[in-house]
Amino acid sequence: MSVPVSLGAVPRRLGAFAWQAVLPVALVLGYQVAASAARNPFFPALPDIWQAFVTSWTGPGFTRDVAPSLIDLFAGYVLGVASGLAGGIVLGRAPRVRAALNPLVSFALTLPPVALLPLFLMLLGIGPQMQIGVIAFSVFFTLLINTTEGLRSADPALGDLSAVYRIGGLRRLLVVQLPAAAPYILAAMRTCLSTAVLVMVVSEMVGASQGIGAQTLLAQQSFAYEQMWAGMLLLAVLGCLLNALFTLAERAVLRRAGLLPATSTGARP
Amino acid sequence: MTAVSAPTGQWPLLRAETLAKTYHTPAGAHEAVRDVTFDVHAGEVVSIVGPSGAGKTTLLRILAGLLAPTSGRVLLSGVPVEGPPQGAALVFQDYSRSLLPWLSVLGNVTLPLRSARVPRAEAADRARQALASVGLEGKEKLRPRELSGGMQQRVSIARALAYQPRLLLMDEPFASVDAQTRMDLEDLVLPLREQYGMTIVTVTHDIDEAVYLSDRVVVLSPPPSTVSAVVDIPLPAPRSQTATKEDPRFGRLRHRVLDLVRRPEPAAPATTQERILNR
Repeated sequence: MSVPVSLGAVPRRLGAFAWQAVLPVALVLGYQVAASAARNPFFPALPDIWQAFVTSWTGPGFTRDVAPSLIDLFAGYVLGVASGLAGGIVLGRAPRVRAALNPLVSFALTLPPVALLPLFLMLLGIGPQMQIGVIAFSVFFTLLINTTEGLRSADPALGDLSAVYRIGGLRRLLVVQLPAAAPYILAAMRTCLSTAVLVMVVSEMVGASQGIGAQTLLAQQSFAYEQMWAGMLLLAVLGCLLNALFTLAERAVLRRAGLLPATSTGARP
Repeated sequence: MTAVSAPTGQWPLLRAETLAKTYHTPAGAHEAVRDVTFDVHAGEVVSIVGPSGAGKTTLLRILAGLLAPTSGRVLLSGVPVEGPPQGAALVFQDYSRSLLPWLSVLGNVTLPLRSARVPRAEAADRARQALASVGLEGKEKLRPRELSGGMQQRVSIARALAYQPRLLLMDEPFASVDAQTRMDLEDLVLPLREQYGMTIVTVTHDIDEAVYLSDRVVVLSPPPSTVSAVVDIPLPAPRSQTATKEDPRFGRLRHRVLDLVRRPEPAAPATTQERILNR
């Protein structure tokens, strides 16, 4: 499984990247060859999918479907993260409240958020508030549990430190406890990002006339398979892009916080 | 050597009074400390030594107010300690866990001061002075991770100094640094005591270090701990790694403490207590 020697002067990393790209490129080419040979309407050729992608998701399509989806996703995610974090801080610092709420939280965590879609539809009606609500709900409990766990599993030495030097209140929370819990919180935020995309798509398929999910399902129901494929392509790209952006942001935060080894160790500013 | 006798009717700075600690574990009760009584007077350096497992760290955690004793009490200037007392600082054994990696060196040193509502500028001044006194000038902006182990322990000492405690407690402070750094840090601490007017209580397993640093050494018995003896160290100040350690008296004291640690004299707790109280 080594990089071909013929790469010569090409840096090793580039070679490794090329090797990793072999399979995806082969799959795309294979699909194209098979699709153009089969002429099956379910599996349109790549140029047709690309054409549908451009017409559906750029220009007016962007403002009508893509932008509202992204806004709902962002609003629901931020709302869920903020409320989960706040709740987790309360539970992390109040063992009695935690003990009382523990069964409820465990139950809510195992409940698939999409199972509650009918309830959200009933309570919030059709519209962005329903999408935002169900996305926020799906994010909330994971953030709640992980923030609580991150605060609780902090090194006892930090508790001793805070006690001896009388570091208390908000300063203790912001300077000692939350940074110590940051790896847990960031991991939860990452997991929730893909859950949020999933919930966004499903909620739009169920209860919206606009948005990426709604348009993708509508395309399938109206035999516009190029458009359906274009929707799935957009969602895949969106998922990858969000994950990549999150990874970058996470690394930047952790490095700034000194929780990751610096790129050049021992560097003096 | 500083005065050890307090005027009658006045409390010593720190008094450990018939301290006992029993841990209750699922495997049963474990008696770590049975009966420990000693006094520390203002300005003294006192080391607590004992065989391994003698409950030294347990004892220090009780003195720091981090652990409640099963019986007995700790008095700081006559006031019973219930929780970490104001004006006491602790240098933790494990510097890598007690420094916050996400704060700069300066941030770590100023954190306790900012919590005590010392204004930002004054806190920074005090922190800079303390860092300078441990030889860390110009390292303020670095992260602890960017420093060597010995330097990290100096940051943690500087944090305690900037706090300007009446009482400085140290838990095996130099245990995890190399021998050379250890000597440097030992020599750092003694002048700082004069400069900051502190009383120092340190726990160590290193007999040489205890004799070298201290005015008195409290020797604990094997667990469950009692005080085997309190040894006065009348070595002249200032102490020096070469002159003091070549002094024949140093050798004799070291020998005596070592004997006590290895073969504790069966001393009745009452007599030990009397000896200390009648000082």
